[in-house]
Amino acid sequence: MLRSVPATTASDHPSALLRAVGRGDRAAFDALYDELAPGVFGLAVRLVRDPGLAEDVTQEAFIDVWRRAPRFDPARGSARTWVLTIAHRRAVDLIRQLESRRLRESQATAEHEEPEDTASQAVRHTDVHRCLSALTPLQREAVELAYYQGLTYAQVAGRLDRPLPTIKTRMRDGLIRLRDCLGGSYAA
Amino acid sequence: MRPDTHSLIGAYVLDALTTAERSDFEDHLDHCAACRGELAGLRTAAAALAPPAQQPPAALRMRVLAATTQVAQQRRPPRPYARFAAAAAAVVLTAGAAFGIRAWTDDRPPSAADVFVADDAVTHTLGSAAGPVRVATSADTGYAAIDLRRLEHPSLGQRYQIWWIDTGEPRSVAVGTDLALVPLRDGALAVSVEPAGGSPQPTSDPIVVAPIGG
Repeated sequence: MLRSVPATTASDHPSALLRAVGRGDRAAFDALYDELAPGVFGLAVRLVRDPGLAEDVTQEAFIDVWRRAPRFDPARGSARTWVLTIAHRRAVDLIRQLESRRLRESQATAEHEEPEDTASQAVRHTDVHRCLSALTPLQREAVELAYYQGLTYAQVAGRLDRPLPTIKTRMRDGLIRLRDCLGGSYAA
Repeated sequence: MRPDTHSLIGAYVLDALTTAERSDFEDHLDHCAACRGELAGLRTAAAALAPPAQQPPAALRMRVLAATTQVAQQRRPPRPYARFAAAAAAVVLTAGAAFGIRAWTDDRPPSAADVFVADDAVTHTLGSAAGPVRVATSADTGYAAIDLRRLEHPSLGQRYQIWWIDTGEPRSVAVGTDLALVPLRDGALAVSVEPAGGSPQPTSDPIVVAPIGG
């Protein structure tokens, strides 16, 4: 079962692997894990800011991947996007759970301000960095606060002191602009 | 549907909706082909924001691979099919059985989704602390089915476990799946929160108990 060498051949392309996982292929799942777990773990560490919790998120995300793999439709996007979407939601759900627990346990404590994230710290792809710079400052802040800190759009609105409709519009417009700027290089 | 629901798509893709808003938006998605078309591109854009990869500890790999051996896959492609089931169930409730898929007459047993869309399906929605649970019984198929898809995610390391209860001890039906079915007879389907691998017997009070008539 254990493979010491990550799968890198062309036939082990993540989308092909994920389709095989969807047919119940455990060897493909092992290979898919090797291929995508570092991306998932990197995302989880960044969001939950604790390696142990990030391991939990990674484990839960891959269990979801296994369960839901038969639903994967390559026409709707790449395997990497599909897996990262699952992992992001898991990480955000954990952030919310921890937050509500913290609120319950210490309501008297002053709000803890997280350090502001910047895309230059976060993103490895120069294309993505360039495209993020093409967003308006408000679009960019709204997208980044939600994506990297797991805030709800209502929390983002509060943090940025803007009306709710403005924030939800900026999130959508920001993603559209990002999508259009990234163009073919990130499509599916 | 509120006219501004569509504009929530950015917040939805960024996981910036509350659980209730997310659920509402997913209902909206069922009826909005334009949204589903837009979704793929926005998800690709959001995933491009992912930070650099980082190698997870080797021990995690073994834990993940071991954990998945306990988890059943969701065989049905849910968007076209289970959503259809939900729509069909609504038809059954409001207008009586107008149509159905007699998939169980194939040479395979019915799925839980088949039970929900059966001509004679009787469906109920039961409230629980974690959200609504739907149950369907169908004498034509000979099965009762339960749908946990509207429940909140359980806490990390926990799963919903579905039990069959009649005269003896509760019997495990499924762990960590959203849809399950049991042969139709007198008893009850129950759901409890259990550790990820499931439990031989329930270790917590059920969040919901649905009586089933045979």
